[in-house]
Amino acid sequence: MKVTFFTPAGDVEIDTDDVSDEELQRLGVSREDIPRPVPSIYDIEARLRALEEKSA
Amino acid sequence: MVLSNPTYNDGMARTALEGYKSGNLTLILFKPNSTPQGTWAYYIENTHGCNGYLRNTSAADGDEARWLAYLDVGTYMIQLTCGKDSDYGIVDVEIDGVALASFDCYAAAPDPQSTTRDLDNVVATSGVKQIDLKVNGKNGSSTGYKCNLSCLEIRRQT
Repeated sequence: MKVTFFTPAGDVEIDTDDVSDEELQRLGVSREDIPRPVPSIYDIEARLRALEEKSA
Repeated sequence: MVLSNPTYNDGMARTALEGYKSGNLTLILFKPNSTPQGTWAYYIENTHGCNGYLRNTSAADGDEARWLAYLDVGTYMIQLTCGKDSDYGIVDVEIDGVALASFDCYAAAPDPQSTTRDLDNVVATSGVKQIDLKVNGKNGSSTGYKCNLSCLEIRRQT
């Protein structure tokens, strides 16, 4: 599953099934505290893009 | 997108731009426009306000997340829905770099959806504003600088 972290250098996407302990430590989370993937309905920008494409 | 002039019951003519003045702003804090400091992630959790929260996983003083939104000149109520716990910090709401409201997220026992409001915050000029949520220190009893932020409401008082 893919999960996104927001950082000053930009978004960092990790694969929760294939992420190292070092990477998790750098992101400040333990393996037990990895956020669950956010449903796409939360992605307002993607929904706006889809509406624009639909109305184009 | 085509915007039509809205109809007003006071009979006053307004341009389309004026018609879309910003008087109420609600930000579900799912994804910031940028993060000047710290690492942040959104957690889905239905015990929290809006079914989730944005957390600074870096948990450091000064962690900051930024949104961009239009605000008109006016006086505003700022309301933050967030989690509270014994290792949470103080979160400031800054508009264009000026700290307006401050919310202490410390609590001796966990409270996943606390809502606190701050009145009489003045926005002196209209325009697209940088709205920052920034960890600014901590309560003397707190042991850390975490924050779990769910929803920010900015509503016009005048």
